[in-house]
Amino acid sequence: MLRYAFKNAFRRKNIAALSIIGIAIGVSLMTAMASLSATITDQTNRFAQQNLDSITVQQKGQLVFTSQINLTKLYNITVLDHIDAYSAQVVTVVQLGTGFVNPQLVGLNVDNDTRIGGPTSNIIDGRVFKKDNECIISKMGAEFLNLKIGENLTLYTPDSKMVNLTITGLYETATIITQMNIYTTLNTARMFKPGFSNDTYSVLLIKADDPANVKQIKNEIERIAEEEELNIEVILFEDQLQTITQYTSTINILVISISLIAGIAGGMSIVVAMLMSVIERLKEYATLKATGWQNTDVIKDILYESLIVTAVGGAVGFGIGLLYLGVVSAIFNIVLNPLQPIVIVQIILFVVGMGLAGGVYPAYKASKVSPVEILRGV
Amino acid sequence: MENSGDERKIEIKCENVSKVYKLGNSIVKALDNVNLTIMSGDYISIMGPSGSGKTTLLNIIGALDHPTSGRVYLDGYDITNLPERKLTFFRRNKIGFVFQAFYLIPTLTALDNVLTPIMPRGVKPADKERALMLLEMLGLKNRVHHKPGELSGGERQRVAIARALISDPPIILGDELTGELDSKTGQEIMDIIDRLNSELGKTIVIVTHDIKVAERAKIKLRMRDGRIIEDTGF
Ligand SMILES: Nc1ncnc2c1ncn2[C@@H]1O[C@H](COP(=O)(O)OP(=O)(O)O)[C@@H](O)[C@H]1O
Ligand SMILES: [Mg+2]
Repeated sequence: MLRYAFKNAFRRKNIAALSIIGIAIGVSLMTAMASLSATITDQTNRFAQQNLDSITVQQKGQLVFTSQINLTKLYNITVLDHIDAYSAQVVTVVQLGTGFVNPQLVGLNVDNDTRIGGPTSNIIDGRVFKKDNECIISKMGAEFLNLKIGENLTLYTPDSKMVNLTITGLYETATIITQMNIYTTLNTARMFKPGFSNDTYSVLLIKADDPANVKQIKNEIERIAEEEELNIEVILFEDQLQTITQYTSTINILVISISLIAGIAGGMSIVVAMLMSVIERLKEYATLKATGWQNTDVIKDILYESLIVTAVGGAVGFGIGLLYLGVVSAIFNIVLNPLQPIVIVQIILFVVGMGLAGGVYPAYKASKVSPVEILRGV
Repeated sequence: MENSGDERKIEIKCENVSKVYKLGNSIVKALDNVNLTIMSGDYISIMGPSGSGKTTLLNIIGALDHPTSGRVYLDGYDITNLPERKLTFFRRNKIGFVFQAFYLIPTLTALDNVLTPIMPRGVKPADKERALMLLEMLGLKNRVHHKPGELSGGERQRVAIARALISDPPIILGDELTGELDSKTGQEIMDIIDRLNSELGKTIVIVTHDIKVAERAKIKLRMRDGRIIEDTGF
């Protein structure tokens, strides 16, 4: 029976090819999207784990790169209980080259940054910057910009002064979000911030001794801010996390909808293909019934044929999906999460579901063939 | 038919079988009160002009179709109103059909075509051997792995006969089975049908409008306007 289905599943090469392509596109998208979304979710989670103990203090109602705070005025905050370390940063947005990419240029004190576990504590190649004309970028950024250690980054300040920064090292962080930052000294970053004195910063990053204490620290800071009339706000990583979670769940919804659309398209292609194939072969099904096949035998045969075609489409699509992933990870040099078994199970279910769903109507139609009617019209 | 002292069993029996088709307002009586008793081992030909009801009769005794009225018995069972699923059982085990247009599956070899009727229940090595034996018996030893497209008309019809024999049914029904063959090849096919009756003891009913084919049979019936009008049995 399976043998019969195998021999006949690919009879009309072009029709079979069409539905294989339809299903392959669906499955390849599913494969690639599932892995990408798993990677993003995973990175977000790791990022979250690493940062649950971090607190950001910045000017009320401002964005990171428009915020201005005075560190001396925040002295009482930096000596609060349960604070392990803190690091103040000057953050600005710069244009690189054609202006195609607009990374953040962040000025920081290396010792302080290392203490809070910032990028300077994650140098994977070269060394941290020491002088004002030096900087570090991420490994991914270096590949993206096609720059190596020892080469220069050319930036322009708001008053059109050219600033050349030599790359001394490459850092790596858990998430794509901070991969495009350029880190340098506070002095250099201030050149891009007209009106910033030596005591002016964009943000104050605080590391709590325990994630459990961040709420308490926040309350304390807010109390001090009220007493001393400081124009600041406190952002916990938890609050940011919600935005990030929303972002990842949006991606997941996108993945699901793309898979669904691909599924419907693939399912339609198999219905059409099977229907065409069955209508062409009504005489054969009539003959088979005349020689002893039952309706259920006809149904089984068509479902098998449909499953065989979708299985081939699924296998091809899975291969193409892995190929996409290979290309993506090679181009962007990111390590993608391998496909989880659950994703493979999903793909298999999807393929089997499509095979069955696509075959049901044609199978029903063929099983209803009346041998007498069909064979009479010779 | 008139051998009343016959000890053979009744294979097929039609009692007052009529088949009426309604086409809009007009009514076509394809079969009009047909009575027919076929004994096991009979070799019967039914001749008649086109439209006389031959195919309709063959389909009804072959468990492919239901009569509008009357009763049909196959191997002693009343199959008149059996549902499709049960009719399949008779088709599979009691009847071997041979059609004018062969109706082979073009993607399958001669051997696989012979095996199609039993494929749903799984082909055992013994089945395969039987299929090979049948093909050899029908002179197709060197055509076993050929596809229908690579076979001549006569060879295709022989494959179809082997297919009809795969389940070893007692009854072989042929509808214009030489209709698409030249007369020499047709006669060769009829030689085979003769042997199925004389050597294997199959009950044969063939329908034709070719007198030379019809004369092969031991019992020659004629049909006109849905009735059996002449019974030249002996
Ligand atoms: N499904 C059908 N619908 C309407 N008329 C039919 C149908 N099948 C057969 N007939 C009519 O019944 C008559 C007998 O047909 P058939 O048994 O095929 O004759 P034969 O095989 O002797 O040529 C013809 O008039 C034919 O047109
Ligand atoms: Mg006919």
